[in-house]
Amino acid sequence: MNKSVTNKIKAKRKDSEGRRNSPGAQIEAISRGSGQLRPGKCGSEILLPEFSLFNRWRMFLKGLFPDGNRGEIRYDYRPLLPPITRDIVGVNRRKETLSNLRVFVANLSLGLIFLLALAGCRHKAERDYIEYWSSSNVFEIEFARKIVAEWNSDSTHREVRLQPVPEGQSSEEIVLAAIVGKTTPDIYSNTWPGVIEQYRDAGVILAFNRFPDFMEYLRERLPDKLEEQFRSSDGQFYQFPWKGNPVLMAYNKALLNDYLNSDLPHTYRQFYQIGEKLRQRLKERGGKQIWMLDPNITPIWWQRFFDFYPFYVSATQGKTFITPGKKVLLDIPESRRVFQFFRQGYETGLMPISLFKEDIFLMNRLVFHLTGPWSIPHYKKFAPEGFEWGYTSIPVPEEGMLPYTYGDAKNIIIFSDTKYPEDCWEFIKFMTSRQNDLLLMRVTQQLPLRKDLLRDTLFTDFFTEYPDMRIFAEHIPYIVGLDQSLYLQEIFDMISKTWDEIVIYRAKDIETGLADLNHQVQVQVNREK
Amino acid sequence: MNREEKYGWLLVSPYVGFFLLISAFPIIFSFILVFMRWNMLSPMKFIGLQNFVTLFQDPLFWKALSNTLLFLAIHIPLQIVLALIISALLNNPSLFGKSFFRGAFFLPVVISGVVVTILWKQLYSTETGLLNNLLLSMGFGKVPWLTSPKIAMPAIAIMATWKNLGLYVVILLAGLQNIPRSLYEAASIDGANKITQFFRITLPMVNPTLIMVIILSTIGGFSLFIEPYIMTGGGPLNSTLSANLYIYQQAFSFYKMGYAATLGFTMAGIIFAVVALQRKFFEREI
Amino acid sequence: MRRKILITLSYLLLFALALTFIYPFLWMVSATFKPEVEIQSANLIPSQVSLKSYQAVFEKIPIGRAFLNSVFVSTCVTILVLVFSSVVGYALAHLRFRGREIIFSVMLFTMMIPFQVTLIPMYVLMVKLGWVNTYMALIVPAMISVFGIFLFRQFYKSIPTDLIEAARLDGCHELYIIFRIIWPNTIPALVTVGILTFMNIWNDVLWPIIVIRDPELMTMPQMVALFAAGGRAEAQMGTILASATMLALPVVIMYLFFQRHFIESMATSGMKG
Repeated sequence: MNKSVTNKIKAKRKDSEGRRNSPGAQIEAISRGSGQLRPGKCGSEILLPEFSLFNRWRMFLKGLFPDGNRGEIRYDYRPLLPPITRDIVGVNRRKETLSNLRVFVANLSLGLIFLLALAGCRHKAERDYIEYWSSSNVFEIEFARKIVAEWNSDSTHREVRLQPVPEGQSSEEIVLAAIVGKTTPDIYSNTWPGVIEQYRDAGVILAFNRFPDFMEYLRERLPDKLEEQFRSSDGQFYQFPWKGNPVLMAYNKALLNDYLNSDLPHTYRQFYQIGEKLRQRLKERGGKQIWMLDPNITPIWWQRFFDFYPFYVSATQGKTFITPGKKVLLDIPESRRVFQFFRQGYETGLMPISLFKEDIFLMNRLVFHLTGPWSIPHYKKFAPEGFEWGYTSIPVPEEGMLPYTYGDAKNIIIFSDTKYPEDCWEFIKFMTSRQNDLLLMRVTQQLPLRKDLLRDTLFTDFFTEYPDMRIFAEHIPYIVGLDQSLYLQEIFDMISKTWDEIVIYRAKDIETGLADLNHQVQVQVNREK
Repeated sequence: MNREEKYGWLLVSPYVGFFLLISAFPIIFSFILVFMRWNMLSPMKFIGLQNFVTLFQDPLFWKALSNTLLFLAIHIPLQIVLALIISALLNNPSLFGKSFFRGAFFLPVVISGVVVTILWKQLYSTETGLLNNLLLSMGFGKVPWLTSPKIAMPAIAIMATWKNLGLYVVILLAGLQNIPRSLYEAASIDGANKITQFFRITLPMVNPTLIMVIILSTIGGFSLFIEPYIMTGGGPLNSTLSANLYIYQQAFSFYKMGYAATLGFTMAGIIFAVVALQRKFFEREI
Repeated sequence: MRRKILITLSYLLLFALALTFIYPFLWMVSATFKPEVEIQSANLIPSQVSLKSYQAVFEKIPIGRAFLNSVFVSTCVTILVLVFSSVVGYALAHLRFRGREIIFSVMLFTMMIPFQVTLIPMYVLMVKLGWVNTYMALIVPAMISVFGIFLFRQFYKSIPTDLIEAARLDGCHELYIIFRIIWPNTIPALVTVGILTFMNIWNDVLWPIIVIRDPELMTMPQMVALFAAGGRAEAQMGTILASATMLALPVVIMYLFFQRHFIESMATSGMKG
């Protein structure tokens, strides 16, 4: 049967060679194959050119298999396929697909139109407003909405439009993509100071010094000691220091005061005296393991801002590890003491070499936890009944040292392709005013980098209302920023790798580890010259 | 131009366009990047073969490579042996509930690696994990699955084996079912026992399938990324830093695009070499 | 007797193995209904059923939106792959034109290039085209699958030339031949390529992590991965597991319905999901 069909087709091909495009030949061929051409719907359709494609084929098949097709359109080619092919391609399961084909094609074209529309959306017209990107934190978005609405309510102001930056892995990546793709906003308010140097080097951000009243305004607001850490290597300011979150130690009151019967530790030694007590208690009473402190052991560079770096700047009493003369100070006694402090913690089992997804602080399994003010709303939300906690400065090597710590500042930048730098600056002054700084604290529970936080009567009520915030505010004058370097991420990655080696897993001793690290970082720093 | 010529080109034109944009351009661009230093912000700078010099002196790259090889060295043999055993058990024609077993083993294959990784991260947790709780209740000590530099990579390899085993069971099963029954019957008549039959008939007959399984899991193993990305971040002591994770970090944490491209090219070369070696070795053996 | 013992043993072994494959998933699902303190127990039945974990996921991340994104992207890509790959596969199988062999070998060559090589330039390309944070970045690079072309070509080779000749003879357009004659006859090829493409795109994490940063556009695996690795789960294990369960659910449901197709597709292709 199959063979005969094939032969039929072959014969017909010969027959119509050279006459392919003539409809007459087709109909002729069809009618010859079927023996007769049925009149009616099909017959009339065949004359309509727009249907010809469908129907010529249909008629052709009707011609071939007069019994198979009565009226209905059925594309049944089964007899054409040899049995093996038929099995391979599974002829029997195809009918629904066919009936859905039209729907499918329609959907497809809709999809394509949608895609094109999306592609079209990204071409922006010249803007006559200021585009402002805020952080993606819910509370910060709320703050930004409020101030933008207030700013825009004054019609003499140039309009500001807010767009929160998407929270993916890090906002630096998003800004970078915007810079490369030339889709930067005018203002971005959540810049980590560590990348300022890179942006400056690439020439994508404006120096604030161009505004005549900048220095005066900055000095009026910023604590004096902090000024230098935000100055770029060319002596100018490319960032407006906005807010900072000092890293402190949260402590579990029940564990520290009752279980361990101890007071807050100020020095490394006191910290480990309490640790010793904890080990004894655990030995006496048994029960679940409890730890003193739980720095995150993941070897990601920025994790070191929450263990190594605050301790380093507190041990050096406010100095960062690259001197103005580009000398690296990681292999100094202060640094060794910090590494030793943490190494001892892991060595004695007072710090866990473990990755937790659970919050062990709230599970009463941890005495201290390094954190910032953002933990206040978190603990308020998740703390179990009767759980009491407080905050204290991170311990220092010797009694009587000042409570320096890392500040985790987030600052405001203006991109250099803005058309309205003056308006941007006016908006920045507006959003960092006394009133709006209070609003910032109320809405986000983060602290503005402002010198008069605890003296200005405007803020008194706030600190009465949120007593936990007071201790963070007290640390604002003691926060330390970062070195200005093009390779800060890589340098912290090196520190992190060394941290892994000599602190957590103790595969090397501190002296050689730090000497190696110091050398590596120095090489990296020298590349900038 | 005749009709077929015209339509031929017309129909492959989407692919040609796609090839130019998505294959040719990136490959050429990547090749150019190999000789450049570029952080995406500042202009590209030609540095000759400096990237390769850096690469050969970069202990972390070699560490990442040896980690990946260690992963393969545990993952592949474990996978092959287990897949062979299971598929041999399933190949019994009178086995009841075959599709249930097959479906069970195949389940982790279809489920996203993200789910599997999240799940196993909990199972492996030293202090609160299910596995260690189980070990404790059986009187053993805790195992620091993901926090010991020696155990972390094998632990990830075990998890990957668990995830992919079903696929290879099914592939091997198909291979086993293609062996004609008559071969075994003839062997039994000749007095060959089951074990001889396995080594003399089964293994040689599924050898092509085995090679495919080995090559597929090698290529899969070289693209190890999401497991260490979620579970360990490359730690402890870089012991789970896979080649891909390292490339990702160089490119998207430190924006060393030129160096990352160099790493990518080198890895591609190594994958080619390893696969070629495997072909040569296994196609002769057994 | 010995035979019986052997059979019992192999059943026991299979059951034990199957258990190690299914139990963790069951445990995960049950853990999402447990109160946070009970999660560490191996018990499958929670003392009280709570939907808190799921509620928390919905509060913290736009997972519904991520699900829709994933569905949209995976569906678009699958349809585009089926259309374009089959068209190209058809041309390579049934049309004689100059350069056909060259195109075919180029294709085989690109199939062997590991994605590590093209990852960075692809990202740069997406940035330059302004496609970062758009669906375009997820759809366009995936809309033709070289593997799909290859598979279609193999399938179409088995279709007799006479069938196609007959259609051409009748003046049928080549596209008409592909979509209305060949497609209905090669449903298994469509199912195979469709399932593989859909699974690959649905489960892909690395590429979305690189090109999508806007939570509104994130795919589901990406969102769940970032949620688990990042801090937004606020250290609640139940919440993380709930997000993982939701990510697994659609595929598991599809798998339960089309188990045979899944297994056969993936086995014939030897590709990983």
